[in-house]
Amino acid sequence: MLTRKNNRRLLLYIGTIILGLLFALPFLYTIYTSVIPMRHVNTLTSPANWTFENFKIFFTNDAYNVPRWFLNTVIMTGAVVIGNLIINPMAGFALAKLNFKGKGLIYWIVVATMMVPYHMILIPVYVNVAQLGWLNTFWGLTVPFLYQGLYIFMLRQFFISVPNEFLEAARMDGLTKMGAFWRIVYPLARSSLITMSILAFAGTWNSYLVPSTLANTPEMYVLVVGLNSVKDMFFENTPMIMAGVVLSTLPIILFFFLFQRQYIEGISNAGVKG
Amino acid sequence: MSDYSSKHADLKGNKIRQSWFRSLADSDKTLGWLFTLPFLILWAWWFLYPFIQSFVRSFQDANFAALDQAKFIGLENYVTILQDKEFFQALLHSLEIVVISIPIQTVLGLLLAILVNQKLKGKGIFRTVFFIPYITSQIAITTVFMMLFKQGTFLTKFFGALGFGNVTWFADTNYALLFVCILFIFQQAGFTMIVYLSGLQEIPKDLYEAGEIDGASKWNKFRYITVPFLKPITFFIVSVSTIAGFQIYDQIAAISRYGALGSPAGATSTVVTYFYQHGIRYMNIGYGSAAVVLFFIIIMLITYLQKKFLDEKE
Amino acid sequence: MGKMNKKFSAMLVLCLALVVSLSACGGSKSADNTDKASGDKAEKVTVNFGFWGTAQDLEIYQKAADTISEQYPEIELKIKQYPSSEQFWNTLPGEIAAGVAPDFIKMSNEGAYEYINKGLFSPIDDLVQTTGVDMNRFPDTSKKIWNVDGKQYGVPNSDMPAMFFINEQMWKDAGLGEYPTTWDEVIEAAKVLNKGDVKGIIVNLDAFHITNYVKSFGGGWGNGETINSPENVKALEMIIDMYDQGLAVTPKSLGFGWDGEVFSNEQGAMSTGGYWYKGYLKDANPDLKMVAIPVPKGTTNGSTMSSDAYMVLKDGKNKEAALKAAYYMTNDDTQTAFMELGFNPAVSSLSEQYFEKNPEFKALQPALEYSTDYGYPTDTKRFTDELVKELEGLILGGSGKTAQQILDDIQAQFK
Repeated sequence: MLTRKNNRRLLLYIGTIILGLLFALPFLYTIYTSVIPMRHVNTLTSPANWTFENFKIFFTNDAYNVPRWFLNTVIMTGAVVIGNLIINPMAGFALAKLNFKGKGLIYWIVVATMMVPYHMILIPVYVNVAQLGWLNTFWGLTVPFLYQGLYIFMLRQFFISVPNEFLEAARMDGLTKMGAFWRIVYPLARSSLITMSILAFAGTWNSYLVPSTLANTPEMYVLVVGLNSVKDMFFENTPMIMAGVVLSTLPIILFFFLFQRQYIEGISNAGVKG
Repeated sequence: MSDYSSKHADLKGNKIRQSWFRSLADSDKTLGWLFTLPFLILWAWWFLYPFIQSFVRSFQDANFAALDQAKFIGLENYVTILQDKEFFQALLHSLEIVVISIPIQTVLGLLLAILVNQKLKGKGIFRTVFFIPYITSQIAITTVFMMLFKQGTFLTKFFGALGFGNVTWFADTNYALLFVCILFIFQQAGFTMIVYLSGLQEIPKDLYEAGEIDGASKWNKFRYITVPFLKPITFFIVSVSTIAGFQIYDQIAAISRYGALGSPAGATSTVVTYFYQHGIRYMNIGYGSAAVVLFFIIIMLITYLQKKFLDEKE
Repeated sequence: MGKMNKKFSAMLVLCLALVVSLSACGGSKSADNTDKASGDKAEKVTVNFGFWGTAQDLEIYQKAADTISEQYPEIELKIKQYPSSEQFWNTLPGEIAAGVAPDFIKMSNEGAYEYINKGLFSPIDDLVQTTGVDMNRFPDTSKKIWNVDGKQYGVPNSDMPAMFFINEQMWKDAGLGEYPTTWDEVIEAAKVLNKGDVKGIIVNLDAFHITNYVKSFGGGWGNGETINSPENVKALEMIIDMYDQGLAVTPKSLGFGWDGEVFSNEQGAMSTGGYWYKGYLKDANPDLKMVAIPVPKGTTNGSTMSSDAYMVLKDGKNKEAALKAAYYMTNDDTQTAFMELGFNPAVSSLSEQYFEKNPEFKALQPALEYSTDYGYPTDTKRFTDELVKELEGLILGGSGKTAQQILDDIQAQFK
């Protein structure tokens, strides 16, 4: 009995590790490509040939202000995630748990918003930003993105599963619905808010199209844009590009690794003792 | 509200405000709008207004170098698109990507979520690893996959043994779209995983406990507790992935680098690349906008159907 | 369910209502980004120059911006670097609409014809008169490339003919003698060079390369007039034939992005290409020795000229100052700096030095005389996309079309 269980666990580990390797492979190969000289691209070469030159250039060439770009990215991402943490849950809650006229309409507005490729509205958005004098400012990079239809939709789906008994219990205790939301639902929905933060963080941190359009002076580049502006003479220098990818991805990986621990059972821990 | 507040109006202003506030914060009607207002304001200014401008463009013959000379041409753009067989080919490709990828990545994501929700040593690392493809630049991932799916690599030989051709996948008109699907599944599985992962956290334990008392098997618990509870989330994942599948762009751009978008020979053209080609690359912004409006109507219909069949009834 | 339907249609109605009301009252709100020039300082005119390129380019331009006041004290030149050409074209429509587009940019002739014809740029003939800029500085061949319908659009910066590259080592190892001057000789050599993993010749299914083949048969696209000319058909037939014989390969089938990668990985012995091979090979395969010769003859001498030039945007605020600044960019210092980076200056007096500094390109000097513009149709990108698509359809997709059918089909779309 015990050995059978052990075997099962062993199998589970082996399976997970194989899957893990499969998923890690492209990124590992990205890292590998970032540490080899260009002439070895597409071939496997021994560690003796590995080099950090591709990374060094980002920190030694005056044209690349990586610390500044990093700071810009942190500010942009931070502001967007915080905005999303306030605006989206409110709207998601309203759509999931409140009955009011116009709710169906707002629901479809949220859904429809996700469907338009951003490229289509980029030109008018640009003009909008320019008219406000927000080009190459953090305002332009953050304000239009403080909400996301996608996450409102996601949170609505999560909040639907919140038992109504919670809200009723909260009202028994004298809380208004608004109070119930902020004091009970919001903290309980922790794991879905963490998911949203992770997704919003990754999405904003990695975004290229919007920041490169709305902020295209070297001082206002965000990391992804700045690292992408590094071009060799005429054609792409693959190792250098990959070094840029590694540099810009590591912070998100770290962010995720730290935050995934927060996935401890939310609602089930609190229990519905009411 | 009226009774209580009017009675005590003169006595304690404070109370009145409180009760006024209370009714505001407790009524579904006002609170519903109050809670959605920040979103609606931003949306109107940063989405609706730009969208309408683009929508108007779809009735114009407009090239972006000379927008001041744009002419109103009614429905001509729409008529031309609907007569263009390349548009329908692109639409078909988009549908193929969605139909092939979504079931696989949804099931895969759920399996991964269950896997990393177990008591597993180092599960934080596994979660991170499964999530990495979603957060890495898709252009980089595609570049790496392109190195792996070349003629003669171990992967193409492996697939060759399974009956696929030993060819460079993204250069072969038969395999290029499948290659895009693989990339998309690989990317989206991490997203699906973490959404399901947080969904799993919220299943009340007592549900399982009740199941145990009834002597349900693991499979039955999964079948009758986990899956139904996750239904709203599954609906979310399926519709979001559908939209993402329709909007897939970076991967195709990377495959077509230095060539024509949708390479080889249009085998990977999608509705979005069609829009991008005509609206941006060929500068015909009016025509491109019309393509997106059609695209919008199509996904709206699909999402509407998905909601009908997959979402909780209200 | 009916309820949902109603909501859904209510939203569409609302949207439409908004569309109607908003499109009635505005949409043409011209965005005058009130002058940021803030010209307090003695009437200085600010000119914005936009470009995409490398850090070295930026350095050269920055230097030009710092010294421009020596020649044009009234001009302040600002350099704006875009992360990539794609990014530039993505941003430009918005910039134009918002009135913050650059006053002039640098562009290659591979795509310029389309933008000129679609009204993005301003002809400079009148400006040349009023500013006294000396256009005689540039040879006629360069000026001609930037002349459309008798109007001059660009201040030329550099010109370089397309080339044909040979892997010297492979050539020698195969015991081949003189380098080829005709395609027939190339095909014979390709048969010898074609062995194992190495393909005799790389024929990238890309408009640049195909255009060079058709030009060497005395053909060309004629700005869309002569797409299916007999010369073009003949050139294409030869290419298809090389594929049929298994001598040719396109980078994509080997999993590469462009011909230079195949060449540097020594999986192809010969290829059409351009001056960018030098810089690329220096990084990608420093040990490889290449030979650069003019594009071989089909029936005549013919190849494309890669040129770039400074062009003034139509919507610019001060076009005269922009032209002066553009002209200043072609001064000897700037041109010499670009020469170091491998560009052949479009200034006759400096061009001679270029071939001394880049001896490997010496054989190309005569080709400067007969190389010409690409001659793409106005819808350049649509044309090149279509051409590539058709060729990929044949070579990678087995569409079974003949050269004549392919070119006829394309011609039908570009009447």
